[in-house]
Amino acid sequence: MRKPLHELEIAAAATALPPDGERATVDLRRSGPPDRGDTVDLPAFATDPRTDPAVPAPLRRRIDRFAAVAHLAVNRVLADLPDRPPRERIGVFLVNARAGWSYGEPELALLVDQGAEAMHAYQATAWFPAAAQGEVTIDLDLRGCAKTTAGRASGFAEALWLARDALERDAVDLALVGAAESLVNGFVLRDWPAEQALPDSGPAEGAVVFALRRPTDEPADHPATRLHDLRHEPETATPQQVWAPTLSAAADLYAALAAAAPADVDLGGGFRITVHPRRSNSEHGTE
Amino acid sequence: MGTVDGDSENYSIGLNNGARRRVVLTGVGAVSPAGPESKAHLSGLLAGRSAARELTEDWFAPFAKSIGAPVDSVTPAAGLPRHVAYADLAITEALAEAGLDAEELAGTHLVTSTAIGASVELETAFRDASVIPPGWFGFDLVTERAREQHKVGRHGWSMTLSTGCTAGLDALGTGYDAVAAGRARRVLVVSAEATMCPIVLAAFQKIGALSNRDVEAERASAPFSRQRDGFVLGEGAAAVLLEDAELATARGAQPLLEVLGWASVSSAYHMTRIRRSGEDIAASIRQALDDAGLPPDAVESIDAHGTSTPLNDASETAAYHDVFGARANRLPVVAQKGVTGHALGASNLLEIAGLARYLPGGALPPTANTTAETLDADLDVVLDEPRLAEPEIVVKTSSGFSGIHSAAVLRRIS
Repeated sequence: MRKPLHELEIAAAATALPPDGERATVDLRRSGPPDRGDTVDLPAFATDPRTDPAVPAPLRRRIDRFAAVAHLAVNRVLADLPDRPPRERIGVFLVNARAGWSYGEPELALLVDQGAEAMHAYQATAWFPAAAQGEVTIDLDLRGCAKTTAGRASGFAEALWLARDALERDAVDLALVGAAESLVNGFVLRDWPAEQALPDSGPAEGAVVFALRRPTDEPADHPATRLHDLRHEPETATPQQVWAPTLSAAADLYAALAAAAPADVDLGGGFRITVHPRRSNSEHGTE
Repeated sequence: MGTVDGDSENYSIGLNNGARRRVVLTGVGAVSPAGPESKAHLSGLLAGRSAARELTEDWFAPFAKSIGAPVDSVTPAAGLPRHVAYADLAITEALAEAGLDAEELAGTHLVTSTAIGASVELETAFRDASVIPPGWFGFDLVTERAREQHKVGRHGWSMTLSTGCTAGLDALGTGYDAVAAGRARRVLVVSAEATMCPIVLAAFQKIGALSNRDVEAERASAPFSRQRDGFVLGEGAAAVLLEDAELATARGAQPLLEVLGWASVSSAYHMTRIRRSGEDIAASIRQALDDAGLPPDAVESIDAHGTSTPLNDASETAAYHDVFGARANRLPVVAQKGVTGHALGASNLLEIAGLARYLPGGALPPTANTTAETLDADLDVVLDEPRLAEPEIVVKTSSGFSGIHSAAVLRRIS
């Protein structure tokens, strides 16, 4: 039975974001944008996240950096959720808006320089946006509805929307929703033409993931943060000069969870949502 | 078996639908290897004529084997990625059929999907170091084009899905959810893919997904045949307008199909393989039927994913027997990819467009290249020539990389 949901409860949230000030150096000489020099430093992990010990060893050589950060963030969320629904009732909804060029560009170079025989078989499964969703669901044995959105401005809101839909139609009981992006490759930086300044804010790599469920009658000593009124107000859409708008939107929502008062969060592309923070015990009438 | 007419015993507003709005298709467009609009697509399907050919373009020369089913009938305008050019034509056709006015177009929401976006153009730019227009690394170019060129969705929201080879059906389901929940009156669903470039061909060849047997290109894709050995790359685009049924009736629109429900599951099994048991495909069908409030016995035909890979077709066969039991080998099964090849993320929506054209005509298209002698499935696969039939409830299945299995339940409108 489908039941409309006007609010979602946040059961847990986690990030896999580079620390402030950390930079990754990207070599632009082979396929990067012309007129930007030989290298550029991005706000991204200085060490390839695929080498993080928390990423299973068999995965490392077959995934892109964006799938690695997705894996890290999802695992951190699940670590905070010891009591989980059955695997068939857990869904995964991720945005990735520019695919995985840290894996894809070297493969393209192999194809051009040495021919198809030199390419690796994992190109077919590492580059495309749904790669992170697939690797995460397979590694963690999550069998609910899983989807990948890709809107450049509003993709994170789209993932939230699809998660809300899945909860409404009772397809899942827990929805892991987030953004996973990585722009650490010269070729994808050609998305910014030479006459346009490169973005100067927001992370260029990372993942932010939320665990959402239908509102529960939470115990008064564990009041939950809730998301209200996911909506589209096109007149509020503003261009974002950040590296990865979807990732920045997810990070903004994550930051808003710490606010003491209700906060309205711009999710990009005209989508907005209101965060209602944990209510105090007095609001629950327990004092 | 009950009927689903609005005036009689009614599954679609029955057991499990709550206060859901009814959702119908009122416009359809298709660009496929069989032709640049849906009538040509239908003609190709009914003729059972494969559109595959040798890929003789220069950049395929290094390949020992290069076959595909390209859209040869469309030459994109300069500055337009191929998949966007295909979507352009499909949107034009769907909106012309739907007959919306300017205000209705502006308020229509958009759900688009593609698995690989502008891969053809990105590979070209990599090879010749040419300038890449802003946004071409993204997957939402069709949305931008729909808003700018077709004036659709200018006041609405948009969603972009990129879920591999189930993307078209997932986009349909997303649009359905929005209209069924009353969050949207109309949603234009578009799925587009351009695949004919070496990186795509090489990627699928490396994992052994493509047909490699020594036959003419047009015989290579043979769903459910024992001779099958892989799929043939296809490409194209489809657009369907989903509309609140009441609204469609009120404005005098002619519904083509009704969407009754859908579902999608993850196998958590393998990035490219499917469990031979078909249990995950079966789960997606069961959940879709549950969403539609229908029992398996209500289903009268299946439009299969039918890729022509040994594993897919065997798994689908197992799934149909799992869900439909003794009726499985009596349900007509259509497999459109024998004609069109596999258009990746656009394939399922192209097949929905095909359904919207072939069901009202009362003839189910045959499966190209598969005969009674080569059939390798205990199923009633439509073979040789169109079969006169008027199934009312049809299940559409799809499977994709990342272990995704999606299914939709559709109703023919008399």
